Amino acid sequence: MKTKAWMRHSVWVALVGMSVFLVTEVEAQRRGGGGGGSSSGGSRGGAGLSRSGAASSGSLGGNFSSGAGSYSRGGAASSGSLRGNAASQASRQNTAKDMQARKQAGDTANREDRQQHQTDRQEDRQDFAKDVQEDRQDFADDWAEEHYHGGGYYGGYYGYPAGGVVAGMVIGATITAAAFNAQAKSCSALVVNGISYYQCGTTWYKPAYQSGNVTYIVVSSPK
Amino acid sequence: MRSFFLGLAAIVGTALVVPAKAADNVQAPAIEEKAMTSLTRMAEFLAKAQQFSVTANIGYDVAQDWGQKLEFGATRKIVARRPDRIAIDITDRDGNRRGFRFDGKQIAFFGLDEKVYATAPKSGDLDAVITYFTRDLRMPLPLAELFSNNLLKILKERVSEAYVVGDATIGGTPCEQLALRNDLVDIQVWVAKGDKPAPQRIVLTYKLENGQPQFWSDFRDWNFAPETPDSLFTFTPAEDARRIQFVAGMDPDAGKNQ
Repeated sequence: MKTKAWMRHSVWVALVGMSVFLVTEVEAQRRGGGGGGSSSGGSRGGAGLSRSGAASSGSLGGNFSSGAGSYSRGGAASSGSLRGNAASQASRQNTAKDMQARKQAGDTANREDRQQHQTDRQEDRQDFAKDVQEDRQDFADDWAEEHYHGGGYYGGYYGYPAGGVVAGMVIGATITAAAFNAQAKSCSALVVNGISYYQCGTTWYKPAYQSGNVTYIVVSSPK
Repeated sequence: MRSFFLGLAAIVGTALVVPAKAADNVQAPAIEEKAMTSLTRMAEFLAKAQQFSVTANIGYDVAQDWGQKLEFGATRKIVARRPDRIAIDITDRDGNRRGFRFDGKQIAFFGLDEKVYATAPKSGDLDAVITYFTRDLRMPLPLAELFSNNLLKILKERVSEAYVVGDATIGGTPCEQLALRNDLVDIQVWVAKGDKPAPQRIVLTYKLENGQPQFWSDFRDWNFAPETPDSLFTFTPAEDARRIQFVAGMDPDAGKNQ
């Protein structure tokens, strides 16, 4: 009788211990994943909040990877699409054929991403971040073969073969509107061929819509 | 002894049968004809509506790095006139006002408070413009599939399970609640009963995403005979608005080369 009670006790201790371990582990993975893919880190509130994610796309299915990283308002759930998604674009494919074409056209990464969702959350997050980067690289293809990934999504930047480093910011880097506004006072606006640019010190920014949000891309001088 | 073996057989038999039954029970039904009939009614009704306006009150979860889900949302007023006109006015919950216009020739997306706009030439019907905007320009257009001319086809392709949950009243409108599934998303839609089977509410659960975030929308004030003058869909930038570009499809060196 005594032995039984003791056994029962140790089983409970073990279970509680395991669940604590699991929770800790999951949390560690989550944070680890976050570290790999996004820059919001420990800050909460204000600019530290993610405003987009898997659900912001509102997609009915389909996986897309645009989400805007650590400070976005879009994301998988914001698309409102019936085809899943990772952030905000793919979802609204109107036909399965379109979906197929799109997937084949360049979103194989997404598909892999999705498969990995099912097995490993952390890898998933990393893949997502990678997808986001790959997305950006789509348009930056002409610029750089390889890209570097320093400190997270918005800290990430692309190598520029021609040495386009401008005052610490690399051509093709993007920052959020919030980050831009924080320094906007020291910037001057310029319109070239009808398109808006900002010069902040020696760095030129070009605002543009990315996944539903205005982001600021570091560009070479438009002048 | 004999009864012992019979008893054992009964126990083993039950053990074998019970889990099998339980497994049957937890499996959602595949495609229920009754659900598909309702879904088809809704899809055909929407796709045939030559013009409509509706207010969608949307919300969605965004999982934060620290494991917490936060809800964000917006109100979207949508006016469409088939084949090729649609206007969406968006007010985010933080007050930020944005909009989308398509006048049959051009797409415009703009931020009234951010004082920016971007345009892209495009012709075609609603399906063409939705596809172009979301796939090529990689911009989100929540719930856009509902405006598709091919809604029924889309739903059929994307639904692998469908069943009727039951009756429910949403915003005073008697509805039928339908549950649909595909490999990525669990969908619930509440379809109005009667001769105007428009969706009154939709809930999407991204079951494979971290934290299984949901997107939901309540639809209010469906109107299938709204005023739809051309001017409603034509975009005129505000005087102090800055023109920007869509990142997707943008020549990264456009500033230099133009």
